[in-house]
Amino acid sequence: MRALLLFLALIPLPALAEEILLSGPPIWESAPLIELVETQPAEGVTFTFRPWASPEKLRKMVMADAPLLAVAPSPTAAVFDANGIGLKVISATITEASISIVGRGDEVASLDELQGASLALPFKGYLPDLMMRRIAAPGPESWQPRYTGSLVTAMQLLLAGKVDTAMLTEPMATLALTQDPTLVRRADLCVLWREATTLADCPPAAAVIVNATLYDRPEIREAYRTAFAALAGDPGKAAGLLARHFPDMGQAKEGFVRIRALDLPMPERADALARFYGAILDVEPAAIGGKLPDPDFYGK
Amino acid sequence: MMHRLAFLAGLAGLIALWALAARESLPAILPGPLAVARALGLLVTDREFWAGTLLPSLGRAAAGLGLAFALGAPLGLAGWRWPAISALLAPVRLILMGIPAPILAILCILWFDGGDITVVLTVAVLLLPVFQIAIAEGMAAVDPQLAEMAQVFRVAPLRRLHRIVLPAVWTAFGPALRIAAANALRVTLLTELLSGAEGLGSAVQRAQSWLQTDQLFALVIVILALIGLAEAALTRLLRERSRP
Repeated sequence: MRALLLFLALIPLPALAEEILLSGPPIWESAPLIELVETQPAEGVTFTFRPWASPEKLRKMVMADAPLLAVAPSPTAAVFDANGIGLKVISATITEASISIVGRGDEVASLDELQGASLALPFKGYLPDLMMRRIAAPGPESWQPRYTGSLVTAMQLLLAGKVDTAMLTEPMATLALTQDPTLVRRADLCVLWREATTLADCPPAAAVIVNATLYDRPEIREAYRTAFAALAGDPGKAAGLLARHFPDMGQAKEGFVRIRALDLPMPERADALARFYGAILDVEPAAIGGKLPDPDFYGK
Repeated sequence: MMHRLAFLAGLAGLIALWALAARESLPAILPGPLAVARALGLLVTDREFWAGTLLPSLGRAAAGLGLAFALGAPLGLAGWRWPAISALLAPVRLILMGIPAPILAILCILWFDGGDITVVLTVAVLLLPVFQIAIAEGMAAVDPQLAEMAQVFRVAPLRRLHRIVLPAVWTAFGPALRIAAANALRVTLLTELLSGAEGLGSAVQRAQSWLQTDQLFALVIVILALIGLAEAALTRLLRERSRP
């Protein structure tokens, strides 16, 4: 009996792979995470993807003990940090040409040229609203907000002719344009942002965050960056990847191909993200937790 | 006196438990009673909260309630007087009573402006059957013998209305009004949450997404207080009306 136990103890057990949870909403920025799941590039690590549907669900995942790498709206990451929820940003993502002001009329170079047109966009205080307010204060001489419950509702109001313009992200902007040929892209938010803020970068609207269990894991960061680079070179591929978890995104290819995606690795490009937070702090401090994040947040 | 003391002791126990639980948690997850009291103080002394958040929501709820009554009462009256009308309206009433509030709110957002009109119409459409049924049932509760006697003795119409019809209608209308008033505020909040229209609903949404949990709790207290006040006022009114 003793010999049998010794024999069993000597049999090499198969090494258990570490499981890392990846999470994100149905946006282009989540596609590199799904690419990681498809390719499983890190040895001894199994990546799994689970979408988050609300910031509350994301917060619970961040606070759990399981290793997590997730895509979050940049302001949400700062709000979590300001409230003592332990996380670090390992990258921020810029998706140039992904947010457009769509409507009927000519292209505009500044929001003043909208001359008080109504503009549908999600909830007051959400990122699209914050960016718009940073570009130009709403009013009868520039743009007049019509807050909606979601981007989809904003698009529907535009198609129904209930608003003059709508701020839409890809693939919804392209979808709206194909639904109604009288609609045009009146402005690229990135261009308006650069002009108004004099910042060199477009808004890094998404942050890639990790919880405490993944703070010092260079191989995971490297794997993420490789996956990101593969998709940045072929942005339309993101639609197919996202469709595995968000079936509606299968038709997003046409909208995604025009995106120019840039990865801002932290802490090297922390300045770009910090300047973005500075711009948001000017219009609504509470949206980033009332203060600028500490250097530690960026992994400095 | 004893009941009041027991109520206060229960309340104090609840707050003590809350304070203990909050000590073990991040303020963003469960703020303590003091933090919530502070947030509540800031909220109710903030002019912008009254002008830009509370009053628009209350206005929409009141307008929706008023519109539901203005449409529901004549329909209820007509349905009582001519049962064919009641039968004609029955399918619409069944749909309105069965449709979940969030679905109706989403449809109203799509069909209307997404702002004030959407919220008022959603509230009105959902509450309309409540008033229609209450008025019809109230009218049916009028004692026919009493009504006939009033006719025989040629009681003046106004006096008949005041002494015979209104007390009977009130037995069904009073409780319906109580339910409708609280629901008007609930549906207003729901529609604001879904539509993004500025008001209590979107303030709740913002407090949640910015992790301002103390403010979220303060908003919940304000909402509960409003519903409680409306309930108390209507209960008092009902009690006074039911006095002989």
